[in-house]
Amino acid sequence: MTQSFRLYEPGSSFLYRLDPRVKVVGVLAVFLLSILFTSPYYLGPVFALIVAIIVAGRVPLRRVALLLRSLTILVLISLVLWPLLYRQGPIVTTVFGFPITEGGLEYGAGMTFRILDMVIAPITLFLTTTQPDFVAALRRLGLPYKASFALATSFRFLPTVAGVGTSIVEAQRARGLDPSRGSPVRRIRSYARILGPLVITCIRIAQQLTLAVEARAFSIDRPRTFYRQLRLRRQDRIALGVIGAACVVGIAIRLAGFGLVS
Amino acid sequence: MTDGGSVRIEDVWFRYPSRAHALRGVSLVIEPGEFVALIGQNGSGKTTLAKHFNAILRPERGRVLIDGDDIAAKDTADLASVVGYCYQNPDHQIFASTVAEEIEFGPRNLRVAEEEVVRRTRRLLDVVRLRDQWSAYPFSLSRGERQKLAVASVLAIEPRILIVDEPTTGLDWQGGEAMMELMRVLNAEGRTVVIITHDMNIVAEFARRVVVMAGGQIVADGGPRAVFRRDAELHAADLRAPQAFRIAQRRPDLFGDPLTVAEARDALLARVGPTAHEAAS
Repeated sequence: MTQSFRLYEPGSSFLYRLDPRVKVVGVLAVFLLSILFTSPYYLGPVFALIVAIIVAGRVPLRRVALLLRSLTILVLISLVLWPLLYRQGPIVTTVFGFPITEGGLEYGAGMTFRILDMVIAPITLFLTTTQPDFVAALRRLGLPYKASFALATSFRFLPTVAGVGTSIVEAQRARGLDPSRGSPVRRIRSYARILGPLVITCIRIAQQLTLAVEARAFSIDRPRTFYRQLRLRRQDRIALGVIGAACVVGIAIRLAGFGLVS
Repeated sequence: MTDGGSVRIEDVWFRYPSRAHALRGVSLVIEPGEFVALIGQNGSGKTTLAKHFNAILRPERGRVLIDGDDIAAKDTADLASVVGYCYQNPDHQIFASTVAEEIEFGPRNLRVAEEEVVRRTRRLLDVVRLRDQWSAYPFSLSRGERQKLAVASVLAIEPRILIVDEPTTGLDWQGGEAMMELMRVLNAEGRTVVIITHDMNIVAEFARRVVVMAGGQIVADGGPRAVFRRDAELHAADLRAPQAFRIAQRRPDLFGDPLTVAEARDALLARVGPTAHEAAS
């Protein structure tokens, strides 16, 4: 009935012991490095580095692969479309009259690494960090309390909403509606009949929740204290130093004029 | 009314993913035209069992037969014309933009002729007393009206077997009585009615057969009087017979053998004669 939407996979490697703030900063650093470069000769090593960290951190690779499966189409599009659209440098070959250039192939490979880097990093974060730790980290990094509360609540209500969705589908099927049958138009209309009650039920849940948290002094404007305290330890400082150094090196390389597809 | 409406459950086992068994070897035969109450605590397996009647859930082991046919190869949507299942929360099943459209949806899905759809819709609007609101937006109705609309939208299909999960929850006393009267009428038309409930007074007043579940098994099954007397089984299921029944059991000389407060009152009045108030009037 209620499904689990928890990505977190319990473990005990250094990735699990790191302060969640450090991990969030690390993911942001990967984003920065991925945006700095377009060349696969630079984005590839970033990818290799992430994979090395995942392997060393004993993150279950099967889970990562499973989550990456949904990216297959995006990766294929990037590998096929960029070489067709991006023309730079000598022509390697022609496909259906389209000239394929060296630059185009490089750019396609680079963009593929960029997608993979920017997706695997947050996946690793969520696989090794519990949701309360993640929310606490964002809060300590300066996210306002109300925003972090909203974020934590949306995590909390994912299974509830999925459960409501399941009930609605079952109830409709019991009245002879099978959303997986018929022409595409019919199917879209079937799903509209499921979305309607789902959205209305979600709004009802949200309204009730608003009242419930207000009744427990949610909008009080005095400083809050928190049960979950985060403290940076030595290993966290070292990790932050390494992440910072990587960013500085990356920016320096880019400013020196390297890292782009020529 | 077409014939049929029997349910046969043979040694059904079921478990939700990564949990203990919710049903452990349940066997049950419901004959056409019966009025059955499935009772038991939360988590006893009553809803899980009922969801097997129209293949919303599939048994891990065992068979489910509707009118003698194994439904293993059938789809819930195909069974909709035979088994009507009304969910606990009306908001999970209503979606149309008007009350009338909501009721018409089921028969239209099953390609019932247009004039027949109109006939059924008119009749049901009267039965659930929503005629004046036929063009209203369903979500603007009160909770009780939404519940009645949800039941009406299932009834429009004219299923031979009607399952209603918690027909009276969230309704006030009057609304609950009206809902149960509707069930009684539908049952009198020859339909098999199965209700899932916690309310022992509703059970006493309306059900002609009571099936008690606990821990994924049927622990008692029979007429209301017989089941209410089985203290040990009811206790094991964390249930108690209705208060009027329990009081009357202590003084059968005064009350006879009633199920409901009304019956106990009538028995008492018959014994002691009309009250002073009634005699005066």
